Amino acid sequence: MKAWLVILALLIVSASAAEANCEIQFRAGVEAYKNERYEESISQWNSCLQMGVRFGDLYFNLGNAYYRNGQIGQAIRHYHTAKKYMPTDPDVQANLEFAEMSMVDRTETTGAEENPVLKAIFNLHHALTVDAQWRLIVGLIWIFAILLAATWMIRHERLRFWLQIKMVAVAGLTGILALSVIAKIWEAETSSSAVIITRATDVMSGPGEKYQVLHELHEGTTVEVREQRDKWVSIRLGDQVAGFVSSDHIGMVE
Amino acid sequence: MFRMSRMRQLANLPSLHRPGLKTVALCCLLFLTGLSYAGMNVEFDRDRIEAGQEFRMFLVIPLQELPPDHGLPEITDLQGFDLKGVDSVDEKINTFFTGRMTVRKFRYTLVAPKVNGAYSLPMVWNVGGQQRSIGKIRIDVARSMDAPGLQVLLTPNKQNIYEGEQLTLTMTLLTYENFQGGLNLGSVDLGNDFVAHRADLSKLSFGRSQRPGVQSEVSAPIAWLAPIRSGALEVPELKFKYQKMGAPKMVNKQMGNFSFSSMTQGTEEATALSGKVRLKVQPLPLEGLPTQFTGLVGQYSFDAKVDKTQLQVGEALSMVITIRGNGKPGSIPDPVLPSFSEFRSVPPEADLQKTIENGQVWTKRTLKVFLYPKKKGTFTIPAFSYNWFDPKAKKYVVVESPTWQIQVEKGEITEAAATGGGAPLVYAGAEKRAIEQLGQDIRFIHEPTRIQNQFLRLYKSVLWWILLFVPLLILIPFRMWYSRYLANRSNRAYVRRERAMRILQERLIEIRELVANKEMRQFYAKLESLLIVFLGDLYNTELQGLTRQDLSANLAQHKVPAEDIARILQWLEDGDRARFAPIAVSEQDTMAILDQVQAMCNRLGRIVS
Repeated sequence: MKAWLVILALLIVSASAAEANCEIQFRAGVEAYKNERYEESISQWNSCLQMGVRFGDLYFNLGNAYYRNGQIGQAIRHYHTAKKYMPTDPDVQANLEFAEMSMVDRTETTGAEENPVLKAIFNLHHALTVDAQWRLIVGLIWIFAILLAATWMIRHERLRFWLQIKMVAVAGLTGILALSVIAKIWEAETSSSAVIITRATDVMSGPGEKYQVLHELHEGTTVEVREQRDKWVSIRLGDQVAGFVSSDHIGMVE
Repeated sequence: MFRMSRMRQLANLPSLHRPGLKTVALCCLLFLTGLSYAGMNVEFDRDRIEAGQEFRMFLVIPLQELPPDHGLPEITDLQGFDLKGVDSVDEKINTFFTGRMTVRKFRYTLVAPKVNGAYSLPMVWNVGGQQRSIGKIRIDVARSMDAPGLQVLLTPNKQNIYEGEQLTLTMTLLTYENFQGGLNLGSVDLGNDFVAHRADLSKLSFGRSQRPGVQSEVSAPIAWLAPIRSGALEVPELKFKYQKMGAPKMVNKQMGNFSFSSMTQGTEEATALSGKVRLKVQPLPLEGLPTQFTGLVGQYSFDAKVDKTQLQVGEALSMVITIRGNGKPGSIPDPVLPSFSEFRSVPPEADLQKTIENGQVWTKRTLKVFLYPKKKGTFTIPAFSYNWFDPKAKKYVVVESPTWQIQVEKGEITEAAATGGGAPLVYAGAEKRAIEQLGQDIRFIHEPTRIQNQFLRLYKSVLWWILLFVPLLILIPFRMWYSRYLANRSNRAYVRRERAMRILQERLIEIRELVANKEMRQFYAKLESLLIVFLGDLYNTELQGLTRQDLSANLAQHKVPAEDIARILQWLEDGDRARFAPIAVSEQDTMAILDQVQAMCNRLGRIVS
């Protein structure tokens, strides 16, 4: 038992140390950015990632630094990652849209959902991160358990009835959140995306330079990643573009 | 040709006996009938003569028809055949019409030429000292089954080019009779010395070939290349896989006790290589090399224009630069734009297109630069240049854009807003959302007050799974305990038992206080009340008002030990006695009695529990 406690304490201490070190690098990166030393700010903020510290503002700032440094592809990639941590942050959305205006490749986007109910459900589904939903689910399960225990103990019929109504509501909300989380977890575990980070790259018919060039994609284009083979990645973009690109030419969205 | 000489003899007869048309036809018919069993035949020792193969040709003449004084029939023009030897032999053969007869076979051992095709070898025969032509013998030489069924040729349109100049690489495919399809071009490795645009080969179709021995052919560009360095360069050979007819093979088969052999001929996979293409790439001349040379070599056009020269603050003007040429495929670097100091600009929109025209790849790059004037006034957009090398003229070309004078008037939107505000701008002819974005900048970085690690994968944390299931783990035992609690609450005996133990302590405390306050008179009364109530609750029975005998029997019924019953009765008797004949009992003794009572009650309580 004592050994486990020691290990737990060490983990907590090391995590705190990493955050403290990251704070120093982060602030240094902010200073460098303000003085237009963008490469230095990129280096400082990337060192936070190497320490294992990750948060939405870090990725957002990296996106800005890459954008200022003229690396649109890296900027878009980091904005996408920041959006996963902060899905409703307006700055992230605005900068991502602005950076995508610099893209060479134009992709057709599907029309926005017109049905207000579906639109509300869609917004709700994407309003919270998996992390936040998970916490909510744990909290709701505790509330449900307390309500259930109270239902057992209370004799008053009317009060028990209202408690049961609340239990049903909590259970319903928990179920919806659980479905949303499951969908997000499935999507996170089975699909991933990447962004083209070089000015242009050829999409080949096979994993190698010797295959036929099918298409050409440009910096900033976001693609779906299907699998990785050595130094080549199988990608897809909509229904028209599918093939292999060099792994040096794309950056994965974390 | 003996047949022809006979016809001449018949033709030289005197006119009196010269036959009419009908007679000639009849004689020809008879003659032809006679040919079926007489006359010269040409035979070969095999059905198929392949190029480069040795074979034997036989001129077969019935012995009786051999003219006297004759030599060996000779081939006057071998046309690539190699005559190894000639001899003759007499054989007896059986024919359908004449039965058995003796023939002379003139045997020619020949080697077929390497090129397949139809050949007619003229022959002459010295008969009676005169050289007579005996016609031509047709020999069809087929392509060897071992020879390739497919030939690939790679041809560049230029052998000597400049570094960066585009050349067209044409591929020609020739198929022969033993080609069986299944054509597959593996990887097209054009080496590391070229920038290439590969052609779409999916629509290639073969057509009939005019070349001798070639069945079909197709010719099309396979790639357009531009070398990236000078010197003697090579385009690696292309590798094609295809199916071809294999050479016939004798196969021995066994079926039970019978064995037989049969000739089989199947398809087999083969590979055809194109051969390397060697090029001589010249470096670009140093004379006249412009500063900031773009590296482009070819015929190019450059055009730059702005859509307006008069506008208001808050509006945008767009500069469109178009560069088009036939140099390096798919590659046109951006021009070096001047500093737009009086304007704000956003990253330009760029578009690149490649088209195939007149057998060349033409690349077109369009650059759109949006400029926003910062303030009112007249400003100049300076000219900027672009350059390339023209290989036909063998000189560098430098072109310049015009210089533009832009008149900016004060607009409805304030200058401050135009240089950084969020007011949407209106730009006719462009997408409104794009223009709302343009003219703004990315939002500034975030500076959180506290740095804290965020988890995106909380579901992978064991701690959170424990927290998720802990309520269930607590609820189940809670439910079990609560059910037991409710069951106990409804059990009267249990309830009385619990109350007995609780009241025992309270009463003992009360009595001890009485003793401490020297209120001895109430001691025995309280003691009796304590014992009766405690024992009644403990055993869920009514002991109030019972005689000592009934009390003893009741307690014995509840399996109270006899000595405890005796002690209880003793205390009650002492109590009775003390009521009527008070005895001075010391505090010490009373405390001892109380201790005994407490000990006994606790023990009895434990036994019952």
